[in-house]
Amino acid sequence: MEWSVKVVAPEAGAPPAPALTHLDDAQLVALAAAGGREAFDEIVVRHRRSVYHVCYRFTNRHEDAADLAQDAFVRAWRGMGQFKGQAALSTWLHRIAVNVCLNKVSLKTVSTEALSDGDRLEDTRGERPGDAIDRRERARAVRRAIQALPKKQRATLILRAYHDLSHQQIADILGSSVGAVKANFFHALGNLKKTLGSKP
Amino acid sequence: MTHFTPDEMIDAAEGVLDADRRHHLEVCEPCRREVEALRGLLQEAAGIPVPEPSPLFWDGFSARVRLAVAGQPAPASTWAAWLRWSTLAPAGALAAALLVVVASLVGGPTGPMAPPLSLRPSAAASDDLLLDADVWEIVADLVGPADWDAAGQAGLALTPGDTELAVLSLTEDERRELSRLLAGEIERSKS
Repeated sequence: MEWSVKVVAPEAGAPPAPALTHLDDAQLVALAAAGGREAFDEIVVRHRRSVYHVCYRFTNRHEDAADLAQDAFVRAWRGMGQFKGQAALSTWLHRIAVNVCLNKVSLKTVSTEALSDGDRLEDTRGERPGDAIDRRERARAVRRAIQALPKKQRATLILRAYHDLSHQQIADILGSSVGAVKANFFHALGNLKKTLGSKP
Repeated sequence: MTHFTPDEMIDAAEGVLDADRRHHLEVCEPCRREVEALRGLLQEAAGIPVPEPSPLFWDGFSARVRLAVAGQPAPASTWAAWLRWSTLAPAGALAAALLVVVASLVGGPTGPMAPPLSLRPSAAASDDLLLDADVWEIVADLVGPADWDAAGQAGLALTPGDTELAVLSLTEDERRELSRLLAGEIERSKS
């Protein structure tokens, strides 16, 4: 068998200009706000994973999460001129992503078997089949329980448990108080306990 | 003895309970059990990973966003919105033209760059002026049809991000002046 390597030049304009990768978020925001699409590309590269994760936690479906994350970035582009830098760019993007999810997820079918994405991609090598199945079942139950939470409780749990945002940051994102965030978090965990307690 | 409020339950589960309430955790069995249950749930929920998409997904995702953003106008509001490439290109051309005019006026009718004014010489114009007008016309003919592609082929094209970097490097006064020039040009184009 003969191997060959094909070297292809990158598409013009596809990757951000090398100089942009050295800029910090604030500089990129200034450029993007001035209409710099390459600067915005770099912002997307830096934050796409985290924004996607927020969306995935809401939907548990890869395709939906990708759509929602894309929508979040388009909104971020449109609102770039309004971002004043009081919060970190990542917090601002999370806020947009959460709002997109809160607005759109309820319109989508919350498919209970959409959870198969997680199962399909899980690495269970080195684990006994029985253990892997139990763990997978439990993870599915937890995902389903989270997905069944009221929207604000779900958002609070996702941002706190998975993105390690402070209660204050979550309050900023959800437009509520720290007290309300803690109450939501408490009720979210209480609801999980109720749901999972009855379906171990 | 007052049991924990929901706030305190969360603080206790996260290990940031106020010192004066920690004692309650030691003496109140129901609150302790509740806190432990919350902590366990939190750990369990936090341990469920997001399945990572294929590494190939991310470039495709960026391309999708780029395409979607391409159909959108540039971000609205703030003076920075003035500094769009689509505004900067004609404004740059205008600024260059203004520079030529100013330089020619300062340099006088026999300067190295003949002024556009000499394109319409008065009856009293000298031969020199007419000669300069001819030169100017030749230059205008040469430069007039040149577009960005031609500029690129001549090695004059900007690379992505150059415009933004150039604007970032301006001083506050320079930005103000650029903003003033752009405002003037937009006003002129409206009239």
